[in-house]
Amino acid sequence: MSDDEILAKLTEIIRDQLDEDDIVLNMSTLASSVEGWDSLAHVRVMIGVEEAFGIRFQTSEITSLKNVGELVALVRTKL
Amino acid sequence: MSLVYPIFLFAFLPIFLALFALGGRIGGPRGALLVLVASSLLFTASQGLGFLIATTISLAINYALLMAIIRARIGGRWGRAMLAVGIVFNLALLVLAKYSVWLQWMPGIGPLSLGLSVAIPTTLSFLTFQRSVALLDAFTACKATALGLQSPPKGERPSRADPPLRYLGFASMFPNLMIGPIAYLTEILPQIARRSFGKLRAIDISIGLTLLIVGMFKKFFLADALGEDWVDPVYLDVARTGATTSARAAGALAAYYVQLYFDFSGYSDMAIGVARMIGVRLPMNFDSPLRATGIIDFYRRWHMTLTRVISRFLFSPLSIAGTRYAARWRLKGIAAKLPSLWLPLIINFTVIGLWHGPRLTFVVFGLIHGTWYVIETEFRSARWWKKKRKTIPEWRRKLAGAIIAIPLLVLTFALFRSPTLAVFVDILQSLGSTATVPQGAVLPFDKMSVIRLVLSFAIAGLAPNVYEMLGRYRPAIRSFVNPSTTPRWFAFKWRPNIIWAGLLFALAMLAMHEMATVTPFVYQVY
Repeated sequence: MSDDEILAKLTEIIRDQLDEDDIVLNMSTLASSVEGWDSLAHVRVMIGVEEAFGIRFQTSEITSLKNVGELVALVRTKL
Repeated sequence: MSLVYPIFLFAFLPIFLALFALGGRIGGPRGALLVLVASSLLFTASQGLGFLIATTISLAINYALLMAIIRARIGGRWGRAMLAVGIVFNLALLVLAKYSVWLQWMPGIGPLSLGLSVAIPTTLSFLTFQRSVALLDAFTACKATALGLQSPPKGERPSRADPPLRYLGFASMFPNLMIGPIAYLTEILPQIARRSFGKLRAIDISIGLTLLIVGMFKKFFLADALGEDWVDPVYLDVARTGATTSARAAGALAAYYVQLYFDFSGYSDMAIGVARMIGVRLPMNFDSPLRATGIIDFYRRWHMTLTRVISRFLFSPLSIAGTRYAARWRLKGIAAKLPSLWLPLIINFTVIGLWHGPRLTFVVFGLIHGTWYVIETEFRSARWWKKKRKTIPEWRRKLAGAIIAIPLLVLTFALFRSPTLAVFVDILQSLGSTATVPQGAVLPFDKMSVIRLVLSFAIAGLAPNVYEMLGRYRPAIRSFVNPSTTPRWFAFKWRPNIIWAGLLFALAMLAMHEMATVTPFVYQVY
């Protein structure tokens, strides 16, 4: 799966989890700049990502991401 | 010794700064770091022999584990085991020294705990968290931490002394040793490892001094005096007679709201200021929390370094486990919310409450804040509110939020101040009392104390905080980015000029005028 495909799938998952259809993500998007994506929603988003991709994150991986690009890279290493 | 004592401000600090600069001149960054470590150990020793021994043993064990974690395979079992050992050791020491009241019935552990609590009267809470989270940093950011510990300052050769010296510099650093702010290893290492560390800069001294003076003013001129005039006498009434008048109870509630903030944030400003004098930027701890627009907003502005540590250690792991559990069993609605969000939040806040000490009032404080947080979270994420909120102007939403939040915060702060639940109930009941001054009560308030209370609320409610005023000089590391709530006409900006120097001089004089009667920081006991 290419990074663009991962990003597209992530965008879909995050729109679904945060219940906001107009979210647009790119590699440098920060969670704090997306409405509703706070630390509480972050856990929900990440477990949603785990389920959709059939992968599993470490707790420390979930809490130490800096931006969407890092999330894409992390997902890529797990596939 | 603590940052509030004249011996610290007028002897320890200036001598330290001179030696630090000298160390930097002779030995470069390493020389300056050596002076910092030596001074920090001296500062540690001034807290008593028990404290010195306990924290030194803790330093040695934490350093050994940190290095083992860095050398282990990234994310591997060995590193994970070392991390667990370190966190268990740190927390065990803290719990034994702090909660002996609740542990004394246990055979073996009871006497040990009692002995430790007598030997270490000063708090280990803050350094326990700072050292534990450093192990976690080393585990999650293995390479960066190793590099930060080992890479020599530019243009110099590597030295085997660097890692232990830098770790000691971080973990024993005196400005934030006793009452925080709790810093991350990954925040401090690059600062003490840089080439220019050890050179005092005029601008750092000015900013550091500004923070120190603002902190002193908040602590001495506002917090201490508010406590003496408004809060302590009323709690004394209640302790003696079980009641007070409604006006005095209301005065005490209002005054304690600002007292606790000015006391603790004043201390944090002082700690951040002292560190800034030697060019080290610590994380910010308070961001005008008393005008929060809800409990979520409040915790992004109040004791921010504790919020972020607890949510990293406790809330996130709990919530992750709960969310996975809910996903595995395909739970929906409340059945899913309970393990994934509600319980983790309530546990999180109960632990924050308990962290302040073994008192039932702290547990109730945590439970109330946890439940409140759950309710607000659910309200904000409800579908009808998401639609509705777009139709209400932002200022009206914020105002309504503050009107709901502030009275509740005032009440829960009083819970925090009350030694027992019975005292808290007495204070609340006194609010509705029709009695005049009770027998044996301390004298009523004078004009100056009323002015001081009004001034305190004006500052807490309208003035920019010192980090906003110093904004362009990046006075501290921000862990949460909050929108400013300062009205535009009050958004003064600090400049290194004669007007600000004069103003700060006046604040320093006012603070020193009150300093004759130093009371320790409210937070010193936690």
